[in-house]
Amino acid sequence: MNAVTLQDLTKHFPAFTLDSISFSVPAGSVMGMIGENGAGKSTTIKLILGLLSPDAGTVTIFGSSGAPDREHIGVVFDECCFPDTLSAQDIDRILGMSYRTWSHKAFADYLARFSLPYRKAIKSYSRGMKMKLSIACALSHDSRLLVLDEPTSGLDPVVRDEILDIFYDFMQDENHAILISSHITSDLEKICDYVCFLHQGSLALCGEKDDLLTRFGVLHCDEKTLAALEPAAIYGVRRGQYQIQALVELDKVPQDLALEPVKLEDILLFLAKKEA
Amino acid sequence: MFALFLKDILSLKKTLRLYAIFLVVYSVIGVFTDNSAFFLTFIVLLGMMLPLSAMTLDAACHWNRYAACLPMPRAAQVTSKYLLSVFGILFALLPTGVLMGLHATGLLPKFALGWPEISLMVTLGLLILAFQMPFLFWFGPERGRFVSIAILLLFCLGIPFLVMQSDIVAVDETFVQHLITHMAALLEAQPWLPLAAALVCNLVSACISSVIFSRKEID
Repeated sequence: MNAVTLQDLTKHFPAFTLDSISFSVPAGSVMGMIGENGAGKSTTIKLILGLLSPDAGTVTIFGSSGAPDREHIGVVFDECCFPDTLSAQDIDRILGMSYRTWSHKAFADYLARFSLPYRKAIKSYSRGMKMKLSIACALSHDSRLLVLDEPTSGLDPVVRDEILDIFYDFMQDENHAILISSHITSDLEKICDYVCFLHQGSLALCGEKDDLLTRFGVLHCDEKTLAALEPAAIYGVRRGQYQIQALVELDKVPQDLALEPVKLEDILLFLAKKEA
Repeated sequence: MFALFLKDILSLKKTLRLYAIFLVVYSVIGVFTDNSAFFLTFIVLLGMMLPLSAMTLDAACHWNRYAACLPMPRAAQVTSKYLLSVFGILFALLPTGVLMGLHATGLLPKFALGWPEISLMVTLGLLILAFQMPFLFWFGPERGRFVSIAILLLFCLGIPFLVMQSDIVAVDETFVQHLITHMAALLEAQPWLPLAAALVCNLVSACISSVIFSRKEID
């Protein structure tokens, strides 16, 4: 069963169009969304959460295409959305009244695990502490799907690693799923099973992370070698002063060419350059 | 809805404390100067200011985005703000209630306010609320603030001007005090009727605000 399915999701803005996005997040998996600023990651997440209405297409969450059961969706945005005059204690009370399945004990456990003070106002928290609080809130009710919009941006590697560990724990249940958008491709490489690349509002690539990493390679070559390749094999080109780098599909280029393994970041950079 | 109301109360704790201090100070001034306008203007002011402050705070931290992901209808975000405003009006009535109680027990020999005046000001507070809220939900707290200031000016300048034009109030009397007294006199026979009408206006207003808010995209 898919936790989330997007079918031809389209949204028009005056200066931007999210164009017919389709992908699925299978239950028990982590899907990462990668793209440059303005690629459409946050718009996609807002459409999934019902914050924006699509101009076309459908969003299905756990098989239901109507209003999603928000009781089972944990959300973390790129910034803490709680008024900073509140304390964790206040949030415990408020969300305890909001979610039927809110667990005060789970929340207290997460606060202890993250060393977050219970009674201090959020304004005294650092950015990392605020993100941890948001994640604690997302996990302290019966969340089966986590929707995370840049949850690790602006955090130091230690905090990011701690947060990724929590997501690993969450994924121990095979009915759980995570949809995460991030610029930090190394984080996604660690945690994701599937990855989709958005570029200028369109879905450029989508698939299993390991497949994508083995399907592509980086070719260092000159113009003559590049010109000899089948155009469909080339997914992006970066021209330097002395050499050319090309993202190519391994199956479509001659076997004797020396190719460098790719990282998600390489794919992102090449795809962004492709149409430039 | 009550969770969102609680969130507003908790996040406005400091503001409410400040308003409470103002209320006490103005109550004391009101008792010594024998001017009930001090108490009564707070009823209108708190009814207006509390939802505005809460919405400004919400906008600053993108709370609406988070609230829209909570398992409750989007209309709850609207009704909680109306509830907050009614709470503000009741909060502003507290010192008046205390002073009326003191007056009734003989501890406060002189107290000019009666139910008609209170009913009138609560009605005014509720009517302003009913009028301003759809604008706040439509334009957001920043631009909506200017609309509400315009409404306040309309009430503070426009209605007194019209009343003066019709010679109901003598111009040599203390202006606001007598304006309230005279208008209250008109309602003395049925002091609860305008209140009921104002509540109905708020129900209609809440429906309009809900429609506006549900059609809004949350960015």
